[in-house]
Amino acid sequence: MAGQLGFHVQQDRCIGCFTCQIACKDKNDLEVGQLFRRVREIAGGGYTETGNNAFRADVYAYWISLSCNHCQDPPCVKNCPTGAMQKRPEDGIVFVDQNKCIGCRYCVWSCPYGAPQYNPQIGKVGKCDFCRDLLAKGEQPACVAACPMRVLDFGPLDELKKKYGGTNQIKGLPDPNTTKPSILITPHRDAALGK
Amino acid sequence: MGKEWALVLFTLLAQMSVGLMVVAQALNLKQREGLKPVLLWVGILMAASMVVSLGHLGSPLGAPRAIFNLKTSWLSREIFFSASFFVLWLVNYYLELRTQAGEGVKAISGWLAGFCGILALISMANIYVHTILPAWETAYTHLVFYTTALVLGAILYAVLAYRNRQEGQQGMLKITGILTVIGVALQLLSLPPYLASLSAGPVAAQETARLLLGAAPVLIFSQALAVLGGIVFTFLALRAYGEKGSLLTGQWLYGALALLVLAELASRYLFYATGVSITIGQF
Repeated sequence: MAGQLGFHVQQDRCIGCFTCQIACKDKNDLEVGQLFRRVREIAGGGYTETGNNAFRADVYAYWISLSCNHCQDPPCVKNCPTGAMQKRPEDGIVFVDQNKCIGCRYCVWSCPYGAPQYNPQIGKVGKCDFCRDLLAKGEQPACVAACPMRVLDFGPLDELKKKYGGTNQIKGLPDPNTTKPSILITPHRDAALGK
Repeated sequence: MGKEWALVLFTLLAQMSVGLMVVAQALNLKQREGLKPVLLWVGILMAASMVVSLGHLGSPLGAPRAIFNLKTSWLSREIFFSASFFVLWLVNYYLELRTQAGEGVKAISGWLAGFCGILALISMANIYVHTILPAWETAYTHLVFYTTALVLGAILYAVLAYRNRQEGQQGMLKITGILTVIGVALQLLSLPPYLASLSAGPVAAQETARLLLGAAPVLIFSQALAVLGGIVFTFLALRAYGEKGSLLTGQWLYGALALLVLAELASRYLFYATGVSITIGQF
């Protein structure tokens, strides 16, 4: 493999504008209910009374933009009974060959990130394929190109690591040890583990 | 995971078929004459299960491609072994009915089919164990799938064998009754630890436990039917047989079969309806 491709998310800069989600939906011409990239708000905390009618606020909210993480050990590829779900050897992109997919949805049950999306209208599964058609033309994935805050970046994972550092686990995401997701996140201060 | 009726019916019918085949082989080690009327139902149930399973697929015409990833996919293995079970059953049925083959050949072909069926059941359970849904990814799935095969296989065998042979059935009724009671008892005993482990687990596991408790009437209904059908009715059938009340024996057995099928149907419905993804509320 020349280098496992991955995404970097500069989460502390994300303003939750949903442009990446919309660009992805437009590029892939997705029906209502289908999202290959999703932006979600994670919020929590509250107000604690400290006495003398005083309150301490520890509310927090942050955004996370997530698509398929093109895992290095993808359970969707392992479990797919037809071989429709594949991992490209040269760059580690995980994609589904819809000509082979039979719509059994085992990949949907297998992915901890909810990446494969079952489309009942065609009876098959679709998912983020890293816009491999755009990559082949030397262009950026639609979500990366559309982000107005430059939150998203992509490239070989080891290069992203050198450029940004980051982590593949933040609060609200599943344990990365089972699938080894190809994602690096520079976390929002409230999303960092151990805080 | 919503109402996966195709999978509810597919798993139950397939488990019943394999259970019937294995119980039938085990109870006819020496005398194979009683097997013929039973074997027909093994094939009918398995054929029905395979047809019903197509209802789950978004593209049913592509179903044959489901065996293309035997190397790593439990789903591929399940389909492969289920189809092989059906083919081997066909061979065994032909040998039993149409040929003068020796008893040994018939027994070997029957056990080969049964063994293939067991591999199909193991693969079927492993499909669910290798997902990210807390309701499914535990040893409880293995236990429930195998005991369902045992319970439904044993009670259906008792009904079919009783219907076809009116004399000297006490031993058969005792053994099938014991097998049914073992299966029902294992299901009952494993439920509290399963619920406890879900309640103590991460968010999605707790949500599964909450859904199960919300469906308490269905859960209690299924367990009560299992006890009534699998323990009370089978005991009454055996007692009626001992008292020469052969007509009553048949009625208790049919009642037990109906209650156990209903119990397993309700239980399996809950299995699918409570499959909560760990991505719920997150991604």
